[in-house]
Amino acid sequence: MKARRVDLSDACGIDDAMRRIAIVRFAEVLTLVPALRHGRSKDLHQLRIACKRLRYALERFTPREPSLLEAASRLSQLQDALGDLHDRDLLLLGMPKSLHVTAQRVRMQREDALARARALWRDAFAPYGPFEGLMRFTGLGYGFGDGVAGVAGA
Amino acid sequence: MPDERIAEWALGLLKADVHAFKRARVRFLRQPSAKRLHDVRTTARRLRCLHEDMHDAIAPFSLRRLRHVIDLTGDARDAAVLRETLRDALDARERHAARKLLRALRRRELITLKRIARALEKLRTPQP
Repeated sequence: MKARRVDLSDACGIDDAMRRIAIVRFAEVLTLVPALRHGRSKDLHQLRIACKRLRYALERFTPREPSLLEAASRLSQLQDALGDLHDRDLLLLGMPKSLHVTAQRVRMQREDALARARALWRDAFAPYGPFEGLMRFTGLGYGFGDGVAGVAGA
Repeated sequence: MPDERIAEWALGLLKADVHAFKRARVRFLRQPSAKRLHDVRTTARRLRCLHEDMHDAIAPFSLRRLRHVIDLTGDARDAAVLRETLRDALDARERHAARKLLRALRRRELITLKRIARALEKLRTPQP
């Protein structure tokens, strides 16, 4: 998914500009998060890229808005788990049939990485959890803590 | 146009990101390594994200060659990581069958590293 354009043309000050960027990037992540439930490679890859964009933006903002630090750190962990998963998907694509025992192991590692990503996402919305500051800053994400993130029961 | 405070803030961020990328590029060209490749890739991606986020607030610059560097560093990184992942997961009985794939991944990594060096030498970084 291509990065959505952020309109800063009539932003009032730095804090407003930061908020506008965070809202657009967080909304991109929230849109893609159902991928954690169905587990399709392509969508999970898009989610990873969206997490990266949001994380880079938040890391730039933390000197002025330290409440975003925990969200940036959680996004980094989530990105790592999704990165591990993506690496396994790529490897499985190029693996010859003769490596079927190894492929089975790689598939299990992929499932572990997906479970890790789901747990990191769910836990991020806990009260006083890592996304608390981000939700307050953007006004987005409320309701996701109830498992509405499309990950409940996963 | 956004107000002056935003433009000034964005310029400061751009300067910092360009400086970090230039530094990573020089270090990689002087002596390539996996760590230095990672730094080139990360600083280039941060610069691209800054461009996407602050499009309205910073002077326009072309991302074409920077994107090329990001793609190439991604290829080299993938080849290295896939080789390592395969080695870790490899069943002892399938070691022989994996040899060809491991060699191909290593070859892909080495070829891409040379292409990265050439692309980085050609690249002009934006002048904030």
